Amino acid sequence: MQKSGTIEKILLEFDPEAKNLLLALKKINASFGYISEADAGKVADYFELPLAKVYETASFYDLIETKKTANLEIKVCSGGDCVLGNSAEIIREIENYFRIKAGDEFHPKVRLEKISCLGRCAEGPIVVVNGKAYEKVTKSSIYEILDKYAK
Amino acid sequence: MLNNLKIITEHWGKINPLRIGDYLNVGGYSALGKFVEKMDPQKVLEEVKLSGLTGRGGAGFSTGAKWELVMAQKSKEKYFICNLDESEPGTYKDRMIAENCPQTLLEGIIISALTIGAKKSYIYLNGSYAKAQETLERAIAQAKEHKFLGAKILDSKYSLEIEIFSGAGAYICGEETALINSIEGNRGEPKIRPPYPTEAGLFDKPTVVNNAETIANIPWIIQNGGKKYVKNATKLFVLGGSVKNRGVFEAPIGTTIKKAITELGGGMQKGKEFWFAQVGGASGHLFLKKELNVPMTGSGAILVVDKTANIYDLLLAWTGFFRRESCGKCVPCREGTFRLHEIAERLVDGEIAQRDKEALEDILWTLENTTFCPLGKFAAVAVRDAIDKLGILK
Amino acid sequence: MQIKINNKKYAAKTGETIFQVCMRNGIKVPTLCGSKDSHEGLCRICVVELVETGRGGKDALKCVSTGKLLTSCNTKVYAGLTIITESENISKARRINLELLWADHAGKCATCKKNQICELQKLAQEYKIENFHFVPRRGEMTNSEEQKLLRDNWSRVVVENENPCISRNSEFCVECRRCINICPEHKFGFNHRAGDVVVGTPYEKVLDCSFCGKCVEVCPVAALTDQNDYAKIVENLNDLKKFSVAIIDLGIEEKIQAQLKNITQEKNVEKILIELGFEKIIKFTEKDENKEDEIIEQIKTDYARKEKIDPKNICTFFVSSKIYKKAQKNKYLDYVLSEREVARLVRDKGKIVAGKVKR
Repeated sequence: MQKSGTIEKILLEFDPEAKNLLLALKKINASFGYISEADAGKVADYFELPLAKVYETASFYDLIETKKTANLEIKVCSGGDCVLGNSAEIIREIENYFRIKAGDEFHPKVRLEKISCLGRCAEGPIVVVNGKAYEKVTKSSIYEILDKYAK
Repeated sequence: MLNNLKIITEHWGKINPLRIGDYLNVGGYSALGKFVEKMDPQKVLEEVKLSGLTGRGGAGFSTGAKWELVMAQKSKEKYFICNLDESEPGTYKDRMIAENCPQTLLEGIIISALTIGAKKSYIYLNGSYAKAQETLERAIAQAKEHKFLGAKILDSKYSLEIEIFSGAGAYICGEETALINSIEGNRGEPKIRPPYPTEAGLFDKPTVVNNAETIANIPWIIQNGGKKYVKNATKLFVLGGSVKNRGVFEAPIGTTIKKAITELGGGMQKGKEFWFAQVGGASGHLFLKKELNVPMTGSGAILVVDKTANIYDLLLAWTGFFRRESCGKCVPCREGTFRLHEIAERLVDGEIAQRDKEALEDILWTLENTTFCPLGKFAAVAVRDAIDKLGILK
Repeated sequence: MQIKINNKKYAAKTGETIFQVCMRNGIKVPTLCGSKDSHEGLCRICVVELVETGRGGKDALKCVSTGKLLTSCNTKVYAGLTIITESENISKARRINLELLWADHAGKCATCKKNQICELQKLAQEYKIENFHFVPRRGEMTNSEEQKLLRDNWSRVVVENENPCISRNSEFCVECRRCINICPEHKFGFNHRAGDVVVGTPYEKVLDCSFCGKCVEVCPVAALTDQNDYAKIVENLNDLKKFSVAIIDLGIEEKIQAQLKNITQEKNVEKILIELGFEKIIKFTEKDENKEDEIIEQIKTDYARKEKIDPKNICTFFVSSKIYKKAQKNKYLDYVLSEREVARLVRDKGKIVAGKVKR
C-alpha cells in the first residue's frame, strides 16, 4: 500500500466537482486501503456533498472499502471457467484450512470471498490474496500459497 | 484456424504495444490522416452505415444509426464513450485489444468522437485491468506527442481530449446508463429510458456509448470503405472451458458456434465429452450439441462444458454472480436474484422442494418481465435454459 | 396531446407521467414506493401494460413490444401512448413482487407498530398475499437451516434507537427511498449493493439532525417510527391515579383524523383522547404560537395549584407533529405524541364507541 501523501493532497488533485467523487474515492482507497469515516467527512467537505452521498457511492463498488480490511483477504474467482477448473474445491480447502465459511465476517483476521470474473479465464482458477493474483491454482497448490501468509 | 482477413488482431504479437513507432510503421494512424484530410463527419457516417457495423458488446445495435441520432442533436456539447468495462464472465477480448494494440482502439476512438462532434471522450475501463490501463495511458501520451490528440489534431480544426475512467468494480456499470451514472460520480444505477443517452446521456448531453471492439473496426472501415467491410466483417470469439485452445480469436461474423468450437477452440480436450456450450457469458443461453449450427450471437464468449462438470456448482456460480451484481434498487431484481441464489444453494443434487419449484417459476417470470433494467432478464437466462434443456430438477 | 387509457382518450401534457394523468382522471393505480416527492419506479407495483407502440420514425432506437409492463410513476407520456391499467400480467407482477417483499415481513404484523396503519400490509391484504412462498416456515426447516436463515437476515439489519426522536429498524424497510428523497438535510443514503442494500446513515452513525420528522411521516412501513416508551405511555393513561393532560398543537387534529381513517369512524379528536384516558385537553390557538413551552410549563405549576392536583401525579403529553420536541422533554413535559402514535393508541384500545365519554 503506497501512501501518496495525506488525504488533503490527494483531494487537491481533483477539481471539487461532484463528477470527480468516484475518482477521488478510488485514489484514497488505493492509498489507505479503505475510506474511513473521518476521511469520508473530508471528501464530503471538499466536494460539498452530503456525507450520506459519499458513503452511498463508496459502498456501492467492490474496489472501494468502507471499513478496514482484514489481515488476510482471500478472493476466489467464481466465473464459469474457473468453476470448471474446480474453484469450488479450492474454496472448500480454504474454508477447512481456516475453519471459516466464504462470505462470513466472524474470523478476526481472515476473510474469504467469492468474487466475480476478473477476465483472466485462460489463466484460471484465479485466487487473489491481499491484492496479489495467483494463476492456475489447484486444490493442492493453494496450501503453499496459504502457508506463506498464515504465519 | 479460420483463414479470414484479420481486421482487429492484425498486429497482435507483431508490434510492441508500448511503441507508437511500431504501429506507425505498419500504416497506423493513416485512417485518421485520411479522415482529417479527405473526409468529413457526414462521409464517415455514410461509410459506417454502409459497413453494417453493429455493436460488439452483445446488444448488436447499428453503430451508424446510433451515431446518426447524436449527430442530429443540436447541442454543441457531446460525448463519446468507449465501453471497456467488460465484466461479463468469460469475456476478455476488449482487454486483449487494449493490451496488444491499444493504438487501433485509440485511432478508432478519435475518428468516432470527431465524427459525432464530441470534444471529450472517455474510456470506461474495467477497474481490475491494470495492465490495460498502462498500455492505454502510454498510447494516449504518445498520440498526444504526435498530434493525433489534443488541440489542432494534425493541424486541423479538430480537437479532442481523451480521459481514462477506471471503473470501481460493478458489472452493472457495463450498462450504458449505469456507466454514465458512474462517470458522473454516482452509484452505478441504471437510469430510466427514455430519454436515451443519444438524446440526454453524460451530463445530460447527447452521448454515444460504443463497445471497444466495435470501435476497433473503425480505422479499417475508413481505410478500405464500408462496402468492403460487409464481406469481411469479423467478430472476436473468446473460447473457454473444455476446449483444446482457450483464448481470443478473430473469425468472420457469421461463423457458427460449432465452427468456433471445433476450428478456433480446436475441439474438445482429450477424453472430454461435449455436454453444452454457454454462449455470451453468465447471461448467455445454453446450447446443446444439436443446436450448435447457428451463427454466433452475443458478446463473443463461448464456455464449453463437458459431461464431467458439476452443473450445480455452475448454477451456484451463475446465480451467485447476479445476486452480487444486482444494483439493488428495484424489488424484482434485488429480491429475485437473492432468492434465486438461495434456491440454488438448496439445490445441491437436483432434489427440489415443491415450494421452491413454484417459487422458482415466479422468480424467473418476474426477473424476465418486471425489472427496471435488462439485468433481471440476464439473471434468468441460464437457469431457465438449464431447467428446460438439462433436466436439472428431479 | 392525447393518450389512451383503458380504451378511452385522455388529455395529457408533455413532461407528465402516466401516473399523474391517471390520478387526475380518477383512475386508480396502486403504488408502494411512490409519493409526492419520490417516484423512482422501484417497487414495480404501479405497472401498467403497453398495448401498442405509439411512435416510431425518428425514435428508431425504441423497440417496445406489446404486453410490455411500464412503471406509470416515472414513465413520461407521449402522443399516442396506449396502455391498460389492469390485466393478467399486471396482477401477476404485483402479486410476485409483493410476495418477494413479504418474504422478509411475513408473520410480523401482530406485534408491529404499524399494524393496520401500514401501506405494505394494506397492499398485501388487497392482493391476498399470505403465503410463505420464498421463505420456509419455522416448522419446515431443520435447526441449522433456521439458524442460518436468521443469521443471514440479521446480518443485514440495522437497528438504531440511540437518538431521542426517531426509531430506526431496517428489518421492516422496503427500500422505497422516500426518506432519502424527502430529508432536507440529506442524512440518509442507499448504502451497499444488491440484496445487501441498507437505507440508512453513513457508517451507521446515530441519526443526528433537526428531527423534523418528514422521514417518519413518509415511511410506508415500520422502518422509521416515532421514538417513545410506548408501554409506559399506555400504563400512565390507564392509571387512574395519574392525571393525563393532552396539549393539542395547531393543525394536528386533521392529521390525526387522516391517520385514523381505517381504524375508527369517530372524527372528534377530543372525544377520542378522552376515551384513551386523557383527563384534560388543552387546545392551542393561533395566539399561542410562540408560547408552547410556557403553556406546557403552566400545567404542572399554575394549573396544578389551581385544581389542587399534586404535580407528581400529572402526566403531560404534547400532541404534535413536532417530534423534535421529544429531545426537549423535561420535568414539565413528559411525552410528545405524534398523530401516528395517537393512531397506535386508538388501534390498540379497541373500538372507540361513539357517544361514550368518561368524566
